[in-house]
Amino acid sequence: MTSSPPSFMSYEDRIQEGDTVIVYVTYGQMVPTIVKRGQTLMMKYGALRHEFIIGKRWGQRLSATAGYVYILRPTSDLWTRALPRRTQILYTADCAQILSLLDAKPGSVICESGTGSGSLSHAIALTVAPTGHLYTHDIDETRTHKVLEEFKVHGLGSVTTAVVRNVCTSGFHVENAADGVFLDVPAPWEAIPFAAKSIFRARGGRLVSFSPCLEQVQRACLAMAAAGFVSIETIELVPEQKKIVSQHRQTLEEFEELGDAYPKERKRNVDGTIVEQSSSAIPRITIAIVYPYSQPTHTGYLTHATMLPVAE
Amino acid sequence: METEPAETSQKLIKSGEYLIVQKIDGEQSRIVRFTPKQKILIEKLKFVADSAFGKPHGLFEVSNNQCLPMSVDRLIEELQLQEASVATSSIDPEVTEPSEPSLDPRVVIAPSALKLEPEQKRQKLEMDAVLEMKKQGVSGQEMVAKLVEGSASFQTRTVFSQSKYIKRKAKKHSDRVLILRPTIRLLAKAYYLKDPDRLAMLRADQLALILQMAGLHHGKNVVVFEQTLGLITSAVIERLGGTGACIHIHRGAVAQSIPCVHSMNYDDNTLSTFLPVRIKCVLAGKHLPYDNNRKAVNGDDDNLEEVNGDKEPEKIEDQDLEALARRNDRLDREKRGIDLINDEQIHSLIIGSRTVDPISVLELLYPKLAPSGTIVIYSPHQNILISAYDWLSKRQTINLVLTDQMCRVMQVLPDRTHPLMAQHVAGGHILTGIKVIDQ
Repeated sequence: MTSSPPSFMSYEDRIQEGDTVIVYVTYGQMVPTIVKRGQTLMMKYGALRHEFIIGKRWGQRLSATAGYVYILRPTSDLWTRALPRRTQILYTADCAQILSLLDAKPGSVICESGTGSGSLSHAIALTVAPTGHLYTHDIDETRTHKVLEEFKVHGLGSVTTAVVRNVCTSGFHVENAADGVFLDVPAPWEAIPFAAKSIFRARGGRLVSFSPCLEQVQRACLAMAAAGFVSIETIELVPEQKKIVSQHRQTLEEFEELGDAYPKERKRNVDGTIVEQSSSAIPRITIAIVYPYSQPTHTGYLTHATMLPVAE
Repeated sequence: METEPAETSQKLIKSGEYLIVQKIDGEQSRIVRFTPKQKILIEKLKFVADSAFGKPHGLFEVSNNQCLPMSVDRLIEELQLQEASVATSSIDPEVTEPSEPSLDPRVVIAPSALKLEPEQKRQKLEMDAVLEMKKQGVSGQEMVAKLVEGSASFQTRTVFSQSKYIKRKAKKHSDRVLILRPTIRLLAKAYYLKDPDRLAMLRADQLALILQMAGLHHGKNVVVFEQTLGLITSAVIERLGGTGACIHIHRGAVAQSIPCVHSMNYDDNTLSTFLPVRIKCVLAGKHLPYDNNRKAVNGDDDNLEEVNGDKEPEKIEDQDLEALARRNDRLDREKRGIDLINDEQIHSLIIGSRTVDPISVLELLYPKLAPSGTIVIYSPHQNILISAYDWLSKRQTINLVLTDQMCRVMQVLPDRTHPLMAQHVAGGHILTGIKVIDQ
């Protein structure tokens, strides 16, 4: 088997065997796949042979047997939406904010627990590469093993270390070395004293904790203060997604003449046949509506704090 | 393979550095360049910059126009004292002797319209005495203690009311400041609160989302057009970490109005990816020479030569060489930027628009974006993004999404946890998409 190129950080124009590709089928459906000769991908629009993908340009539209798809270069956002789920994951808005709250950048050393499905792990690893490092901890051996494999395949193996460890009892893999610590654990208050030890004392660092429940946040805040953190703040993000549509717009006279207008309406005639409403006569404007109608209103609270440098 | 921290030596505050100054529990942050003999003012606290040189970043105490390093342990102690009455009440509710809090503070509230007899005053400490203590340099902590002592109603308040009273006084009389290394997060917050209009209402969480949707990390080539004080450009430069390119499209001859880039103390390696490109070069599609008529080019660094026309010949030569070196560096960076654009090597296009129509930027740069490249457009106004959406949807762009985001700050205290009652809510909107090509 050929060695895998680091596809998440690849900048080649064309797709090579071993690359991870995000196959964009529809907005709501994306399939990650590793390109290998002899394999075929089955999906909504039919079959797609991998030989047909190799050598194509990133972002190209390809015909499948029953439609067409796009082959996209992976990013952490696309990976978040396409990845195989093994746990509840953090979505892009929260991931983005966590990276910002950690002050993550190339060269940062970040400790994370738990690993989960690796959604945030990919985002952190990509951000701290090539000179930084991510130490990620999880209590589940199977999950850790899976994510470890994914890191290698995605070319992130050299900047990540995945450890099976309970950070609430055993602490983190490194001490006095981290620029930031992220916690997504049920009892963060038990891990916070260990997080304080992990942070590089001479330079200080950042701590971010993600908790769905306010009671968890309260206990975490008390633990942070007791451990010597300052500037403790808790925030909540509620993203809202919208869709641009062509919406009917009527004057009063048009309303009287043509009747009411709905996005999809059919009329049933007296004889029972269905007649499509002739809505083409009603003018439209471009407008943004909230869509989908049901969207997340809560993921969790993000509590962040600063450990100040301690003079040697 | 384990990574050791790149620098084991501690970074200390140096002269000439940009730093963030923030009063503990204060709303205001300031970005200040610390130069010798500079007077620093933050929410009525004053000190000279020299007193901070050579100290580690962190917590300081201000007195007599100097700032002195202060241990975090002392701060934690003080914060715990502020909560002492609440903790006492929680731990042992039956024992009411120590603080004697009442359950209902309404009985002690006197209407402010009434004239109070001297014995009815709620604060025995006179205004003159307070000002005198301040003049003598009494510490904030002692000041608060005196005010609590002199408060007639303090003992009759509920424990929560007592805690709130102490917090309010501590906040007002606090003499503690944080002096921190600038980060994108702190810059975004400081400018958003200080100058939101010029920042196009770009909130820190929206900035974070822009970076994430653009798929930024080291090695990427990014084109940025922005009207947000250089904040987006600065964030991109940081994420690249010295590898890749941040092509900053700017008006005029030299990139200006980008204080957020200057404030980050970037080293040469990190700044090597900063490639300012003039708008006129993008419009022409090629590299253009600088206008040789110096007077016609407003703001050009070369103007300095005219001002120094009467200086000594030797100094003039030195300054000429410096100006020439800067000019050549600028030309070289611009050429690199133009080449990357024309070679269609751009992985990401970020537009942070305040007044400029994003479509006029897209018309020039969208064709130069590599396939599978991401487009991220930020605007404080949704209608502008709807037009951009229309434009993009008529071309080979997929995954088009328009989002906005609410960010709420919570107060988290024992038995007093709730969202803040009022916050800055303007935050703008983001449109993202991915460019694709046909067979």
